[in-house]
Amino acid sequence: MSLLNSTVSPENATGVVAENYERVKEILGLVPSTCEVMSINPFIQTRSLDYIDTIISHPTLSGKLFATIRLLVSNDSNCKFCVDFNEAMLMNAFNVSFDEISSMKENPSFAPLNEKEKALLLFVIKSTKDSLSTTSDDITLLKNKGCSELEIYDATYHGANMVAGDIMINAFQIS
Amino acid sequence: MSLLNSTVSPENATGVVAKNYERVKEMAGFIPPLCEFLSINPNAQTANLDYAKTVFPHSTLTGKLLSMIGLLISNDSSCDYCVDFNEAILVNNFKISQDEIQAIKDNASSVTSLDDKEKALLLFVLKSVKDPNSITQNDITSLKNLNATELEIYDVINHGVHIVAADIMIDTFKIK
Repeated sequence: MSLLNSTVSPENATGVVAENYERVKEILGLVPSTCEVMSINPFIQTRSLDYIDTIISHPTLSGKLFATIRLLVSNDSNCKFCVDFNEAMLMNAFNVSFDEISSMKENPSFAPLNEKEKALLLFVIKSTKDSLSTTSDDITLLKNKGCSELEIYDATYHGANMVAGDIMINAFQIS
Repeated sequence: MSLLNSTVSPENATGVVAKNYERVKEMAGFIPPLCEFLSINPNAQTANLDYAKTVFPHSTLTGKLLSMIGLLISNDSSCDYCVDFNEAILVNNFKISQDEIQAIKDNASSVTSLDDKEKALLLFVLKSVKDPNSITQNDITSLKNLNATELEIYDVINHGVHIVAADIMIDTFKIK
């Protein structure tokens, strides 16, 4: 399942790790292998689940936007695990069609999101591809579409975290 | 200080943000601009401080290694803020010379002030961040032969990707 062996399986988990597996099963209905690899460091595992909680309960941004960010960032990072995971989530939880997914992978501006969230998506993609290229004009454009600074921050943070997650998953060959 | 304005200054902070500023002052002696920027989302600010507390100090890995990871990844990302920050830590806290810093920025394998295990971990993290798909079981075996544990291997990569994500945020929002 990965290049590391000292993970704790759900069957053998106790304490914090067992609690974390219960949490992730409540959220996703299963324990993804990424979560199992994180059991090597239970603090990081807990922290990741805490972060997922804040995304799921985000007060203003949709789950579809977050899943689309993850899909397209991971597509650029060639992280097959995350592409497959988020494609499945978009289709099953948000009724995005396979054709729509193919289109947005070719061109993110085809993502089936409202105008504000599409602008956020495109900003995050720009930021993760070339973070030095963003300017105050980008921020002004987002604000003109109704985005708050918290939304801009949270969407970008999600994209940056996805870049980080993709590196971990690819480096340890988590499948 | 950044492209976003709705940060909370230390003078105006209350509640969780004020507590976080106290925490970071205890840890670093001052409030870095990055921490002030994170006040836009107090949950993220708290999570980052929680993470920093587990890494500095780490139970087995040296602060010198972790700062070198921060320096070299940020050097590759052209994140001047983090390069300067980590150079200052290496010079002031770990007495690394400017000559060695320049040498490792040019060629990470020229590092002389880490032991064999930490040098191997440093090179492994840089390889992972540059091309994670190039990592193989042989890389892990080599690290284990130098007595690196899987927790150490996991934690150094986790630290490396934490820097990658931070560099994206800092460069995107032009934090200074």
